[in-house]
Amino acid sequence: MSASPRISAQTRAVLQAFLSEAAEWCYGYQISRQTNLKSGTLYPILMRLADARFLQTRWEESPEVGRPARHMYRLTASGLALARQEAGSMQKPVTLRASVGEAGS
Amino acid sequence: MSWQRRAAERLAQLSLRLAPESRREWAQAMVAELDAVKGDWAALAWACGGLRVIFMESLRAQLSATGKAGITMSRPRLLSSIGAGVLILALLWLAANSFGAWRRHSWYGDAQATVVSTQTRQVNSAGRQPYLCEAVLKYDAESSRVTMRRYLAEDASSRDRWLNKWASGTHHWLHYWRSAPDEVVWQDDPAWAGYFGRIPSDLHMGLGVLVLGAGMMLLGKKVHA
Repeated sequence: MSASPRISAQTRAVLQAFLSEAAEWCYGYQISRQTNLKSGTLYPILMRLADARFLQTRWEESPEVGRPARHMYRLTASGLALARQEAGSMQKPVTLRASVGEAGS
Repeated sequence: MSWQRRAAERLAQLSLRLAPESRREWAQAMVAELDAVKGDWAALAWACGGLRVIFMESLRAQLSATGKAGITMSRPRLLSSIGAGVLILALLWLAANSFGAWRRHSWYGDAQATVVSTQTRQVNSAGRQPYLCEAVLKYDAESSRVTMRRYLAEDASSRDRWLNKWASGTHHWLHYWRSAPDEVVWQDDPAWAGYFGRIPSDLHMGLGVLVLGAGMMLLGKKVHA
């Protein structure tokens, strides 16, 4: 399934957080702290992104004995493209305003 | 371990149990992160959020399964099913309304008869001819008992003073004038008129919905044939 998920402001924030560490695997709590999103908001987004194959997931065993393995996430190539596209679309209005300002000055 | 942490872990375990098969991995992921969450209240909030997500996902999974079952149903069959559903609902509604109306009517009728007999006796024994006689009824829905207070009024203001002392909560008025010893003219409270007025309209609307339901069922069968 490769249907694009609905891009809300929160989804954009999550994509932005992944984009800042594109090559790295991230934990859910780490993304939650970066985006200030609570688990109830963050995880549905992660699920949809993973369903749409924009996100790769894997389990990492904890180095400490008795601790559960943690789920980690990283953008796929198509996820990276989507994140860059969204980052670009967020900058468009700024560019427009700048050009208007330049025209006025 | 603080009580918030313990509560968070309980909630996390609950979300693991509730998780649909397709989302079990995600439930485990949220539970695993709980250990990393700093702060007891934050952990509790994390677990609550996780439980909410899993609950919604579980609901979504069930609805999706129902939706898939619905798609396999043919359109006439679907129409007939909706018609049958409407029909059943209409019958239930009509039955509930009729029963309610019947109950209201029956206790009202009994109370009315009591008021007439006792009031007439009292008027006759006292030898008074008040121009306005009234009774206030209180109906206790739980015990289905009617309490009655009578009043022989010479004027409306003394009636109101008496009423404010006694009547509170649910009460209904029965008014009647006694213009002659054997003649009683009833005037129901407007609220009661509303009650009785509702019966035919409920009936009409109920019948209308019944006809609609039956029509949909017939149409469904005809299209199917």
